[in-house]
Amino acid sequence: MTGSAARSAAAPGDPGAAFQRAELLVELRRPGEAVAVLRSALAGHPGRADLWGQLAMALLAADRPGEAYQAAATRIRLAPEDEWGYRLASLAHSGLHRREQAVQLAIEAVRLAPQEWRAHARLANALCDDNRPDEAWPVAQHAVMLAPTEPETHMAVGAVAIELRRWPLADTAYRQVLSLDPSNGAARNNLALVALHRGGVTGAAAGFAAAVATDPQVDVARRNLEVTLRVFAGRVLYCQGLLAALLSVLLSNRFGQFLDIAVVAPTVALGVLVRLRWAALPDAVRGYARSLVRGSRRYQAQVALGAASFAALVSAVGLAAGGVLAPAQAVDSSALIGTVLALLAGSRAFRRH
Amino acid sequence: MTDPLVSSLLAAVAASPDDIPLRLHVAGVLLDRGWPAQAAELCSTALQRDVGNAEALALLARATQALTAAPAPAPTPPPAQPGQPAQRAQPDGPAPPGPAQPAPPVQPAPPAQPAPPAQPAPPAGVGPPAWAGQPAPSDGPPAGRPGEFDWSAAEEQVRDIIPPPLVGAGAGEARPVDEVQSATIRLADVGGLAAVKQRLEIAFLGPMRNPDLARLYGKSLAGGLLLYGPPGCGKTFVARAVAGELGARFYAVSLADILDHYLGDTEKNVKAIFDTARRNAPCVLFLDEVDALGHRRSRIGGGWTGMRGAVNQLLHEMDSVANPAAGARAGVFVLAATNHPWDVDPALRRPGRLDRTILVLPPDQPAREAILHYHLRHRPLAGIDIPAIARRTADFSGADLAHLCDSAAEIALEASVRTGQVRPIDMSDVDSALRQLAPSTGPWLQTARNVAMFANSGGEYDDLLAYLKSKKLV
Repeated sequence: MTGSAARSAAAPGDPGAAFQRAELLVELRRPGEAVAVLRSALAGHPGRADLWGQLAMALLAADRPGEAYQAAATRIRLAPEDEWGYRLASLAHSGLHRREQAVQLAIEAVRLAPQEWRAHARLANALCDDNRPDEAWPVAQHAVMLAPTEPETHMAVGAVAIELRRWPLADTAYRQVLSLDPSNGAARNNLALVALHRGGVTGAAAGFAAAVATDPQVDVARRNLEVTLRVFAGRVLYCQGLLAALLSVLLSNRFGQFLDIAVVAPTVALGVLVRLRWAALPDAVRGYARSLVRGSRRYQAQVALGAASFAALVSAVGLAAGGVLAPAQAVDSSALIGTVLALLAGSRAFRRH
Repeated sequence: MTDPLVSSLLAAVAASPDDIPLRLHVAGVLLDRGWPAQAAELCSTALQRDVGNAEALALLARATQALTAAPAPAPTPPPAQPGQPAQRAQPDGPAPPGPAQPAPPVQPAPPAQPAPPAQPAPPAGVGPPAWAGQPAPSDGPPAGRPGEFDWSAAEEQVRDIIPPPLVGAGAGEARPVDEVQSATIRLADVGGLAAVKQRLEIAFLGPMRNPDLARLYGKSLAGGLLLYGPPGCGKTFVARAVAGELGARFYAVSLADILDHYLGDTEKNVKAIFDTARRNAPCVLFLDEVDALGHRRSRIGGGWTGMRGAVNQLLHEMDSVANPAAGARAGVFVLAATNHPWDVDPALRRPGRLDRTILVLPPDQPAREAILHYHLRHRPLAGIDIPAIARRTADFSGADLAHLCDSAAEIALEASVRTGQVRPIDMSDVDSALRQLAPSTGPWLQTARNVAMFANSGGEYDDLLAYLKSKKLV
């Protein structure tokens, strides 16, 4: 049996049907199939500007900006007074890192359709890409004014706010996106990025994990999570190194009975703080961190360095707290070893960030 | 020369060596008269002059198949070869103007048989003269005549030259697992995948076969089954096998079917699909790529909006199928498959709909052996060690393995065309193909890893997580 009984008489050469099929295929993340559908339709209807526009869309989704630009240019030739072609061409230029041209085409799109929020959002993004966030800000605001319920306009505001390092505004913009479209993985990722910039490492890690869970096919959030975990590890190790260095200085100056309190208390505090922060991370993040260490010799080496540093620090503290029996040189050496190893591991953790 | 027509034709070829149609025509005649090696040689020469000539390729395939299936030509020389002085073409004799005969459809060969333990040599007819395309020293009839040639002695002589087609006595016992177009297949026809079969039996087939027992234990029979896993790993085949197990017809609906009539009344089309299934009950309605039909969210444009009606209709139909009180069940079993279950609308996965899931993973070692055997069964082989290839193709999907076989065959074919001598596929071809290929399941596994680690709070992907752990991917 086949499905032919249920197949209606859809006209295979119908350009309107091809347009809608391609639109759906792009949405289903099958841009290659969409391109094939559109090219087939365009063979019979080369004068259909809408098909050329949709083809440019599909090619952009397929990460083929060069071909997308060609399709968009054809669209512009066929419909020179329509803003969509300019907007698509601007997107293609951005994909090709031709930022100035992207801005020019976006400006043309806005000129042709001053009430079209998409054109304003595109212009804001193009200006942002061109390192002109101050100019992009009012454009993005205008896009929101034109379409306050469209998530993409708030996404543009968030992107510009990040460029301007106005974290609260970016945070608000991305929260607004999520209130309109809770399944927007990109907004979750960007929100976590804002949190990371504001110093909230554990919050950022949880945010990136949520972004991956929302849209597992977008891998950028997972990579961001890896970076965040490296930042977390680096901070812990630098703190550890700082404590070890402090111990070393204190020992060399012989601060007497205050030594125990001066060194043991921060060491214990550091241990408790790290433990609490680690426990605050979602299970998935902790599992991911463990899998990263299991799967990478580089990370294993860093963990080994960190552990050795911690052992040296603890032994230094222990020796110092042990009193007169501990030779001062041994304590000093342990502290120095702890300092060096912690700083080494910390710097390795921060590398590539 | 025993056949004047063939001699004349060969002479004509010698006179017009660039006349490809003539050359192919003569190759066809030679094939019809049972001289496949010589026909293959003509085809090879033709392909050297016209790379990719479809007719030449078809004739070459016929010749190769004839070499594989039929007794090898007797070690007697073929009709005179074009270009040989003794067979000079008549100067005023025009070449036969008729176009080359189109190659008849290639007849499917029987399933590969295991090589007899006592005779590891290739099947009858796969002798070195045929493979090498070398003419035998003496003149005589092209086809072997019983009693005139000692085949055993000849096989003994060539045993060291050409290895047996398959290494390992049990290699031929594997079952094919793909490309079956009938719902009459059963789970036993699926090679490997023991865990999938077991889970199918427990979650779906057992309750269906024993409805009273299932009801006794409070197990609902309503609801369908969602198969998920990387692309090209046999989900459709497993669905067909389920239909076979249930003794039901198999009605497959794919994304192409949905998109084909996307512009029409989509709700009406979905209803028509279910009506057709009901009319043909007992029937397994298989919704392939169900994520396309029941996608969970809009991402880019407005395409999804147009499909909302279809999804609502699908939900309604699934409820009506699953509702025994309405008497609408009528023996329709809904099976669905997707590569991306995380993109399926959660409404579709609620109880009574697609509430049971089964993970169909890349084929395991026995399944890979079976798939490789199936895809190599009609090809000329020499020394192919299927278990060894299967060991080196972990994570390859069934489609990847088919592609591997095609690539190895292409390499052997290219070498045959280049050298003008037909030779079978050997392990070096497979090695070359393997160097060029990577398993296509990689991106899927990456996404699956993200899902299993970050989106498995409900435990719905525990089986996937267990698999990834077993592969040390998490």
